[in-house]
Amino acid sequence: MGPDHLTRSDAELLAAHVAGDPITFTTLIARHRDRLWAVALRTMGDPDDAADALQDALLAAHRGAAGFRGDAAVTTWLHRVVVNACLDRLRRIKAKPTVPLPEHDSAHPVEPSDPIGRRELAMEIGRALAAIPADQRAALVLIDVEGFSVHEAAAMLDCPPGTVKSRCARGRAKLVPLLQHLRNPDAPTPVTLKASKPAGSSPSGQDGRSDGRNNEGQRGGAQ
Amino acid sequence: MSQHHDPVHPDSGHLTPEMLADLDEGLLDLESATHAEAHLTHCQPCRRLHALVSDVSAVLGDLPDETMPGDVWRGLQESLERAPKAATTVVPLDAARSRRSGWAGRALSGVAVAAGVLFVGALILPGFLETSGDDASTADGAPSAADEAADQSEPVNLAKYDVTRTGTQYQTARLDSQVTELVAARSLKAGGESSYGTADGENPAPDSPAPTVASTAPESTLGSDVAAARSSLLFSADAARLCLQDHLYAPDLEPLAIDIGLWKGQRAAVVVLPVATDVTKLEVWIIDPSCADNPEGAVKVWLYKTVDAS
Repeated sequence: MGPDHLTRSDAELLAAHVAGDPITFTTLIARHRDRLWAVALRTMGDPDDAADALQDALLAAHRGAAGFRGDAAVTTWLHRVVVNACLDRLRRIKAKPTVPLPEHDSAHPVEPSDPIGRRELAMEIGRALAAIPADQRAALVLIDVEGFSVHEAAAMLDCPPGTVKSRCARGRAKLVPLLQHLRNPDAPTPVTLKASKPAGSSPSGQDGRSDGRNNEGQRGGAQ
Repeated sequence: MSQHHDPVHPDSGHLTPEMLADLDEGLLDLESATHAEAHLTHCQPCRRLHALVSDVSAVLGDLPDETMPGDVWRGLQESLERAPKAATTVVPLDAARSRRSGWAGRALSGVAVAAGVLFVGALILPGFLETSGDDASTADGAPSAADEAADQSEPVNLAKYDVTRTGTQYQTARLDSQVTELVAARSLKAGGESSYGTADGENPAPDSPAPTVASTAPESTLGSDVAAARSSLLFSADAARLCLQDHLYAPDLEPLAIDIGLWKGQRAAVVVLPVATDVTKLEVWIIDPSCADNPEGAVKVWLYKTVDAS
């Protein structure tokens, strides 16, 4: 791999891969691997499942690179492939036997400045994320965790921006009782976190009252 | 008829987290948003809740950056190096998702009849998977008594969706090769060549690529377990469909192989399916065949794994 690879844009690397360059795809993935990993890990909730999903995704992207039309950023496309692979896998394994995550001591609020505390914080948040529907979790991971815009996330999730907003709102509302003790020591700690595996999503992509209630546009008040 | 736009919950008299999250995202219509904001000006509990809802994004944003572990990266690199060159054709996920081949539907005919007849054989031959030492009936070419009984009693040819009963002891460390060997053997059979013992009347061929059988559970475990033996014998392609229908993303994908063997000393049904989005992969489900007794009930899934197809 020469220095040329380091200066080429994502689109140029992908084009070179499609043209037959044997190493540019790996170069492209290396450039974004940590962020792709973070999305897979937080969506799947389990490192082994995340690794499997990421492998599925990147092999599919490797094969299907010629189908990339360039109507979005390469990173958007890569994230889209990864998120789809994660959601596909979650749907397939939704009844997989659960593996309980380590117990945690939620009696003490986590101090984010402490490296150990930050790891505990990550586990705590991971457990909470795992307890909400996969579609909502994926939207929150992309927007709140990874910092993508609503429109970027919409392109990655292949749904309208209004749906992304709705999934985020639903997800955040569900997370309030699961996360409030992190910021407020006096708040009651969550009694049960069914987070030993991420919650799957229905094959239709709808989860209960989530987007099925109102995918886009404005929502009226209680009737 | 006037529409009520007050977003305050009629029972609690407060705004709900959902309403507050919608308010933050601009998902409420103007009138509801106005009502909500007016309520917030005079309701301290709702203001506190609103702050918590709004803070969720910040809490999530506090997550530390993740770094891909070295072993994951090395595994990915190896997979990408082995992957074929970039293809010019793309299989859209949607197309793969919509594939409906009705594999179990085609296997349905006659299965109930077959199961009923097999049940008798199972009851009188509970130890059909018994082997001794490192030899197994399916490995040394001698079908077990129960297989023979099944062979004789099987009134229906289940075509390509029949279930083999090799008794193979599937092992984590060797699962990939065991599964690929199983599928290869099934492919040979589908092509008209002989294969190892199956429920549809074929005897194992000595030189067939049957999966290697290691030791099996002791006789005391298997021989006395009449119910498990019965379940194993009853397990059919239709049972596999019913047992897994809630767990598979594409429940109508045709299985490449269904085998009754052993998993950690217990009788197990090994169902191998293609991965719709990746032809280089196989999906392996190892489940408790007793789900055949009650396909609508809970299914014990002992292992789910994706393995390389070759």
